[in-house]
Amino acid sequence: MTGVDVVFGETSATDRTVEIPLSHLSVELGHLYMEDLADGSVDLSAYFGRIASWTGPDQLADLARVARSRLRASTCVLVDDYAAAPLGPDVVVPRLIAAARSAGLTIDYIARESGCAAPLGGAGPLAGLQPAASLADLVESLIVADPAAGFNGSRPPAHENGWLCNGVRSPAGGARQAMRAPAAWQPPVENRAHRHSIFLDVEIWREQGPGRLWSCPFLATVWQLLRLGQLRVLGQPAVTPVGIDPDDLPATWAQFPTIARLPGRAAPFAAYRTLSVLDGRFLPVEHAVRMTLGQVAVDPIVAEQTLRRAGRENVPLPAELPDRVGHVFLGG
Amino acid sequence: MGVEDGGGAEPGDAPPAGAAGGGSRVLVGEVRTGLLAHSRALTEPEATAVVALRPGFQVRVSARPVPHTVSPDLTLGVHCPVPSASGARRDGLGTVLSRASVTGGRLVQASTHARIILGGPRSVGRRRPWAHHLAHPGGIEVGGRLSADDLADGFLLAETGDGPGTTLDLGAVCGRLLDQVQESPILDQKPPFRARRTRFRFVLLPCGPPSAGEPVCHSGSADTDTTSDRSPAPGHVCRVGFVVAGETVRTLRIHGSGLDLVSVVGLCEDLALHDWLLTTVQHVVAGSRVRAGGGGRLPSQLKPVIDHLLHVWMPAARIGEELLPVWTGLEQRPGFSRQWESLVAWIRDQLALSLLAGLGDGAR
Amino acid sequence: MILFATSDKGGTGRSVTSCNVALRCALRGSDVCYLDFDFGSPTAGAILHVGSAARGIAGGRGLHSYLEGSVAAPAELDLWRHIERAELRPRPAGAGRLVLLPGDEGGGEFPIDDEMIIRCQRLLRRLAEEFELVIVDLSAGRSYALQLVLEVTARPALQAMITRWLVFHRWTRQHIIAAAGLAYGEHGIVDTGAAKGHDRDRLYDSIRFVRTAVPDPESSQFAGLLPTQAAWLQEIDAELQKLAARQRVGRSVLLGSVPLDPVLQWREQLIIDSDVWTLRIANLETNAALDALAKDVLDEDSWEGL
Repeated sequence: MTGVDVVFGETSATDRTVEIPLSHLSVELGHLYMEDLADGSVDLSAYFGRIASWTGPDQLADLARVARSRLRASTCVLVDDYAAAPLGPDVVVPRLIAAARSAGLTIDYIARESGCAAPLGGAGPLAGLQPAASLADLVESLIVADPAAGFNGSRPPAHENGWLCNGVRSPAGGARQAMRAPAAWQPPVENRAHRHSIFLDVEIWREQGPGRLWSCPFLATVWQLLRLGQLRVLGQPAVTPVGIDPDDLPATWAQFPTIARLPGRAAPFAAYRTLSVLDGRFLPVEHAVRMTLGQVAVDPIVAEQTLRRAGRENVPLPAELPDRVGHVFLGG
Repeated sequence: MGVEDGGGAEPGDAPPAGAAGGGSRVLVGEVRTGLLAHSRALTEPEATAVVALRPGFQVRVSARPVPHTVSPDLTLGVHCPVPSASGARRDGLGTVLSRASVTGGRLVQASTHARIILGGPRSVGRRRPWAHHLAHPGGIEVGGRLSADDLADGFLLAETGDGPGTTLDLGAVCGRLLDQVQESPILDQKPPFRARRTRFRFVLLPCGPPSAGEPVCHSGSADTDTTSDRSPAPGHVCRVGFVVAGETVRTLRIHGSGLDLVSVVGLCEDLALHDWLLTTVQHVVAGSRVRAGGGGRLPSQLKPVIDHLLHVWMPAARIGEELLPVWTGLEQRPGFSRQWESLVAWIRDQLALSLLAGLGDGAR
Repeated sequence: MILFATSDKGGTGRSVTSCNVALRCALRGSDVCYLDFDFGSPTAGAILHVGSAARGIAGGRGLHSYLEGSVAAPAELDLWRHIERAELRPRPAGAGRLVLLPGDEGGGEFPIDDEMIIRCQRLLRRLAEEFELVIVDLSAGRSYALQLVLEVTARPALQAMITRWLVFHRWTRQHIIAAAGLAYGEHGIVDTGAAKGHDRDRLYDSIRFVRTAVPDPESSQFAGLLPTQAAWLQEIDAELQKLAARQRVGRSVLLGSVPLDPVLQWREQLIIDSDVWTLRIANLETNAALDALAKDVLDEDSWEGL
């Protein structure tokens, strides 16, 4: 009897993770608070003009580490509608498109911040499933906190609800057994500080009403992860851009897609790397974003797919997420 | 001479550029096994829900030969000295991976492992940022000199784990995960009988000459040294040492090269599962022998074992070709299946006797 | 089953009686563990003849350390290996497991925080998974320990488990009133439990009483009494019975009575067969009462709703 080599496999035993199209670079063309748009205090044309001088094709190709002729880059804007939205898409979107165009820029995608906190699992392959409450909940579950020296797994990771930091907090005067001395004050310490600590403690969310109010830096982290194409829900893309017609826009953001694709020949939304050109006032937010990104562990299968594809395309790509994120901060 | 990663779960895991060349890698892990806190066997959707521990991640389900559902991996960061038999304090930084599984709708396991990479830079200042460690999940980079055997001995021979102490405590991580699964609201907390959890600790070391610390001849009631003379080929096992280190603690030391780490963890989970079955059924049988009712009545403790456990025995069902020698070795000595069959035969005899006695009563 | 042993006053013999119940249940084949939640004075080791843990366990791995979060799991002492009484080693044939979780040597009372509640819940649930009987011996009175376990047993993971309460009291007027107060009075078990989310009726139904140091006028101890003295004893006993009934701690919720016995009173240790038969220092009645108590603790009928 000859040996028969039997290969047995069950499809459900191996997970399938979908790859999504990737550009070389995702360029965020500034960020404005809703108030800036509402009160008309910002000269939008001048604003986009300053951004344009940092996003020329040579500069972008250089940042993406590919030849200019090969460069696939897409541009995007995130609308700050989470906290309050006095203006609807029918007002904001045409204004942004026109101002960008006057500076010679094309906006490929417009996203809304509230989409990062909205319930997931409505349509498409995720219909009927409730895999995670929202993108923000999903990303929060991906956080693997940077352990303080001495953390050996014997206790659950210390967490202050809704906060994330880059080191060890000052010890609080906690409960002690009767007849024991109280503890003395100690300074906070940054993990792997370079001689001195720059300790950062970031609010991720706060309880408000029946649910959570997510912080701006955390939603900005979700936004970066979406742009880096690293989020999946049960192996499916967490969000897929939806085409919109600029002449037929809804009046409320709830009716607007989480990521909208404007007409035109846009490169894919997600990219190997991101560049955000922002006002200097966003530096603290982006500092918090980088710190949070550095403590997010995405699905290893997704991470591997991305690295492998970059290798095939000959695009140099760092394995660490914060190193894929670039910023230009504009002075006043 | 390092144990090479099979690559299965270690995406883009090239050897870290800065790490001293020749730094060897040791896989360490622990599996805890127990009886699910539920009155009946879970259905597949229930078992899936119990191990759906991460939002947005898929649970792996396989139906054959025994229903088996596995949670997505959970990652935990650690920064502490790694175990060492000689007492050397070498700091490690990285992550450990854990997962939980339900088998046959009845048994629950938690397993935690880490790939310890020896020979990194000593000073903390030269350490990589945390994001680097998250990009290589399940790896702990250790600064300073430490031999693989020193580490393995320290890990396998640690008194109890869970205790006060500062070194890496995989057992605590694993135990917490098992608690978390058992606390699931899906479970009714009414198991058909009480059973102890077992702890199964394992290490995977590079092939090399046997060191002073092994094959371990400490206290164990059984140990095995399976030596294979096959020429080194990709993915092979050189030696295995299995020790029953107490009522509920077992240790396994595998020397091999080119093995897929995920498969090794799977093998250890499978071994731990069968060892738990053996331990638990043996305990029940021993109790029944002492307290046997006589008159051909089936000792009441045996019923749940027959109802819930006997059919779960399915050794080496999910084991890859290159790891089969480990099972084969353990089948020779201590002889898992032999012992199991003898226990099952005894239970069947009791069942037959009770049936006969029942018939006799009916005839009267 | 998780069984909480409590008493309003100290000196009721709660700990020594519970230890004896634990031993007897294990000898009858059940797997039993005993947790010393008398945080201010962790001395269960002394009662159970474990010299190394007579005042709690050294090395920071007892229940105090666990609840405070400095160890991942508290030390578990297999009593069949640690009891320093030759008659009980090795493990008697047919006996179940008998395990002690001692407090920390030098441990004291501590206030309760949320993390502690989670740890306590986790521990009790795990032990109930492995043991048929988990006895938790609580500090006397309205203590942090009592507050902690009332909080923990209201949590979903433990609500599904069988949790029961034993209130120990001496057979005196003051003790009867105090025991009833602890169970049903203001800030008592039922009151506090209901405030923390327990089902009031269910909690009420899960409480039973154990009378300790009960003088038995029929026993040989009192054989030499004058008729007037005997009559007086009978009269007092009858009055106490009436009082107990009025206080809702009468016969319907009585799980057992343990007679007045010098070995229990003075030595505060385990009573085993050799004490009764060879040494003749403990009373046959005490032995029988402890046996009956152990049997009733595990008998579902004793816990039937009222």
